[in-house]
Amino acid sequence: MPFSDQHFLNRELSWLAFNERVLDEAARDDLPVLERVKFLAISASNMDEFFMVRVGALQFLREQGRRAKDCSGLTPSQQWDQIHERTVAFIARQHELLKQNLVPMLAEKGIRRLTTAELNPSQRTNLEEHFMEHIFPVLSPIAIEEGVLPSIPALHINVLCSVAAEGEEGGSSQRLVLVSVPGSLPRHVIVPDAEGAQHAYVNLEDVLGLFLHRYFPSENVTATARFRVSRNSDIAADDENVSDLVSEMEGILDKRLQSAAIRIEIEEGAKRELVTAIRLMCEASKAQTFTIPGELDLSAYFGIAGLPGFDDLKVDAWQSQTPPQIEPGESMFEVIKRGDLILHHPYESFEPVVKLIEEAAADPNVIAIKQILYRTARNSRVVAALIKAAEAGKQVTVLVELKARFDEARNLDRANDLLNAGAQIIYGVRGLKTHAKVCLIMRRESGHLVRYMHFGTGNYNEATSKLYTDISYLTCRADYGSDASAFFNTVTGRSRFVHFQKLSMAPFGLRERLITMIRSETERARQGESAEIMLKMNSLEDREMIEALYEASQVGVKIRLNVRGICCLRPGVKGLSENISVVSIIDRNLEHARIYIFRQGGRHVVFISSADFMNRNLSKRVELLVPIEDKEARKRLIHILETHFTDTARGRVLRSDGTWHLPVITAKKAKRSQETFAKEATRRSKQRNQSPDVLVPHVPKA
Amino acid sequence: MSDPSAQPSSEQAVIYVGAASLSMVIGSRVSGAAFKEVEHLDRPLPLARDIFRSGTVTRSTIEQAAAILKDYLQTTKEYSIPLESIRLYNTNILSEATNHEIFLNRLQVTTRLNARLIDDGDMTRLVYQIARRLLEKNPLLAKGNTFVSHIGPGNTRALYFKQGNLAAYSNYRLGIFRAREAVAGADVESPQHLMHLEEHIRSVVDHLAQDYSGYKFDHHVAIGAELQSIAPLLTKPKQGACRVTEIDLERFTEKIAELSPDQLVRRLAVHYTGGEGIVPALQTNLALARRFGDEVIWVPEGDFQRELMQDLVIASPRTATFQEEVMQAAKEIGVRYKTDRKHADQVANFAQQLFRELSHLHGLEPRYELVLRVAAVLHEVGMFVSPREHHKHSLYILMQTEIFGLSTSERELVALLARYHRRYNPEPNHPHFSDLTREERMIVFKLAALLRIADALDRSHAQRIKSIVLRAEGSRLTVITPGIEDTTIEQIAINSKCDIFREIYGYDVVLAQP
Repeated sequence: MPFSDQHFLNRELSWLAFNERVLDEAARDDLPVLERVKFLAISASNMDEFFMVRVGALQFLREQGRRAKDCSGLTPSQQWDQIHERTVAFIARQHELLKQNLVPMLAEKGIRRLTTAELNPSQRTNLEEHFMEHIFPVLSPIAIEEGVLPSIPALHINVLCSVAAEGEEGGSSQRLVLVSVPGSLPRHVIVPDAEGAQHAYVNLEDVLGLFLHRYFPSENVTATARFRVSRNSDIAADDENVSDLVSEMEGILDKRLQSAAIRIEIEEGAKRELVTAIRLMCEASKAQTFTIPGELDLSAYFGIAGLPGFDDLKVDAWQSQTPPQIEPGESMFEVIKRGDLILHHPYESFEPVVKLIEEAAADPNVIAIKQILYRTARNSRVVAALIKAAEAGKQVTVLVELKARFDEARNLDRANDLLNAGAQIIYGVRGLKTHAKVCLIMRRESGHLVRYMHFGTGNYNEATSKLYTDISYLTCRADYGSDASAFFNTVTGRSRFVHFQKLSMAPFGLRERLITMIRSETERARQGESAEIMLKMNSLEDREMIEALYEASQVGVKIRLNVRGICCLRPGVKGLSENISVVSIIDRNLEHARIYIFRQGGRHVVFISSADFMNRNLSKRVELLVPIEDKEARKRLIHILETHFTDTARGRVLRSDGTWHLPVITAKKAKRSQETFAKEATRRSKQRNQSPDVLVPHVPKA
Repeated sequence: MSDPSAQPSSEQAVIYVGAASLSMVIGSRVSGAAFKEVEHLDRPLPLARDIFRSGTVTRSTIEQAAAILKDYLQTTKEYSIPLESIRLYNTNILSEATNHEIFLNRLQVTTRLNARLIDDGDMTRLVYQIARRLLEKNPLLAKGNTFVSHIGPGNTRALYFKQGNLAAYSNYRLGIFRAREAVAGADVESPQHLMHLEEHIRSVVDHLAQDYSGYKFDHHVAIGAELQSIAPLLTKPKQGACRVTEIDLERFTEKIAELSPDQLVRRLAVHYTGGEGIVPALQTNLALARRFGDEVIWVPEGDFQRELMQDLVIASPRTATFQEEVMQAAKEIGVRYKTDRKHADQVANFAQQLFRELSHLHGLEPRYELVLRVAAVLHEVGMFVSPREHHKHSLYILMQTEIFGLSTSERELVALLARYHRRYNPEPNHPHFSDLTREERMIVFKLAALLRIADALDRSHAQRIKSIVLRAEGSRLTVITPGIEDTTIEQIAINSKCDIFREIYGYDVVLAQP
């Protein structure tokens, strides 16, 4: 059957729904308050990113009068209107939550944001000293002249002041001055010795407001307005999220797009004249202006969530465990040679992966290491190991993806060190972003070449591996090794793409393989066999894939999806998708793994992948799809998905109208998948410690 | 500090400069003839386009090839493969480029490897092996009469198997890129393009069909890189081959002939340079199938070029069956030149026995046994022209006759052995002989000495001596001839033409009765 608009959900609205689920976590009263504050901050920084990478392009299309509809049948204009409406409600909810719940709870526990009115004279004096020393010298007020647009940095807090000469308030000598607060200054200024608070602070913009007059010795500040501008300034450098939109904009993409303001947030209470002036300065329309009923930029609450101490206000940490297959002190090469290894991060530590690379760097029999680096951690041990390997004369090939959003500087940081050590560096592939996560180690063992590989769903980043749930697969299977070599030959331009034996690579057939698998289940169902598909991913947006899933559902394939973020598929519609269910997990760890499972008549075919079911992943990026053949490993991955599907504590179910709901269930009975994994990992690791497989008998002395 | 080359590499590399791409395979031999591939690289290179369009390899193609080779050597360095374990072959169509020496020299300077042309014989052997493997998998093809064609970038080979045995072989100047460039003057986009192509192909196909008109055949097996890559798209392979109907192939060819290069590249997952060959390849195969009225052609599974390269790495010894097929093909040539078949066989048998039992004396590789046997079968083809100076006629006939399964250099050796089976011994100023290296000249001496004895043993052409027993004592090699009393004629023959044997091996040859 032909599919039409009504069968798909809009991508942007689905993303907003995702962020609403994040905010739901902040509203959860069974969580400690700092954990809730963390989710609030996440929801705010998510929103910034969304406006920067998605809304700008959409707005541009709208202004150009483009009417190209998305798969749900909405024009850019219609999408924009709905986004606006949802955003206004979202902001209201954020601030209500903050004011009604979080701020009082924080205050009760000794964490207080003071208003200027609450300051006593000695605190005021302290702050003034702080202002004069740290803030005053770095700010430079700019006088606003009519007809000249000042440059306003994106995402910073700005204060627009109306200033008048002494004794002439309200007269014609009013002038406007803009003060931008640099991002390098901490948002929270600590107030020592506050009564009844362990941690008291004043927001930077409040301090500024208090002492603003110091910039205007002979004038009076008659009014101020605080605001924040968002731009899609990184569109050109980053095609991650906008590639589908950019292709729509062929030929009309110009500089204007890069510098245009997309969103103006103005703190409540600003005078009308100032609001109008801000809009003019930013060349923004009324509809782009959002009035914020409270402080700007809630992502600053990350600082509060991460305050040292206050352990009773935080969640108990789930410790990352060492998997039981690894004996202490054992070489990773030995471990992998014994059998394939699956690691489920962060419940299981990322340490073995780092250790493998470090070991390889120091091993005289290792002849080459090839690795993709996408987003690396600060002081990355992986990079350090690669440098060491190159210095030791090994062939080190590193593909550093420069287009990884917001991390360019860091990615480049140590590229030079690698280069100097003699490594071969490649900065990405023209026209495609390299998103696959793979490391290949070539080692000589008694005259033969053995290849050790790590395939992952997450980046080689020791820091995020503690927060993201990802899968690592370590193996030395020869056919995987030959594919890994072929993969590197392709991305380094040393060879054209040649046929792979086991893996699939986007854009050369990964999509086709997934489609073939879906069609195969469809055909099995058609012939009366029981057929089932289980998929876990971050986003489900690609139309071709969704249509294939609909067709599968229509002939009775049971499809269970675990999608964290965007989902354009409409589940549970009779005649279309009644066999499809979608659950989204938003919990302490960011769900990030991609696992694809097809029943195949009971001999499950299981994949892990770096790719989501998004057009950009399947067609415009270099991605890998890795089949997992080891029986135990497959069992484990199936178990992970089954556990997610039965999550009733954090598993929100998507309804056909695009809304998400938690199952109604008493808190006691609720099952929480992330907690289950953490417990299982601990149990497995304990079992190993308690029952070593080599027993030491007591023997009589000779 | 670690030394990455602490352990020696067991891998070998073969680099192949093909008609449309430059490839490299790295791997090692495991347990005998099996090959374990660890790396396969492939980059487009428009060599055939250059050669058949302009007769030379263009400057940019030369540069491109050099750049790719530099990259490839980087990979071999990663494996610490020494230069001795890397071989660099070039497609034999390269010999048609006027500047092929310059091209080879450039490759050689870039890589410090010896850049060789791939041998025609190796190519034939590969086609034969693919056909033979298919015959083994598919009894239907083995039992019947099967015609096998291989359409390469510049040449076409035809093999004919009668109940599983090779019965005929020939080679034609018809190739995919040769055809494409011959009609490239015509508008490639036009619908007439296919017709032009077909027109061009027809004459050669007619010639081929004429050659095989006397043979009845039940099956047609078509081999070729392009066809083999396409066939699985048309039908699922069974028993090692895809059974492609003429109609399906025709429809498919027409469909892709209409595609733009971009569409073709996307649709078939090929590169642009390689993509250029696909339509001509299918068209040529189709023309052949039509000419023979085939409803179905069989296309073997596998990647032709990759198998070729793996074969070059292993340099697999010729199987006994293959050697017999070569002998059979040689005998067919003998028939064409009306040689004394029984004499030829007898000389070949004696030569084989001498070669084997005297191997401690000559120390030659086993592959020369086949060369000697073929020379024994064909040494008298020159009689067809005239008995007078017939050894010289043999020389030029054999220099111009392709012998199935032998390389060019081996064939030249056969021709020289025929030349020296009587009369004068080789001399440095003799044509052809003078072109040889010192080692090659020694081989001619050694083998010619054996051939002369074998020939002398059937001096009467009546197969009087049925079998021989060799015995070496002191400076005398005694040839015992059971069942025959008077061997005077043979002994005279030996005395008159086997001084060369004494010179080379240090033995007088004496016939004796048991």
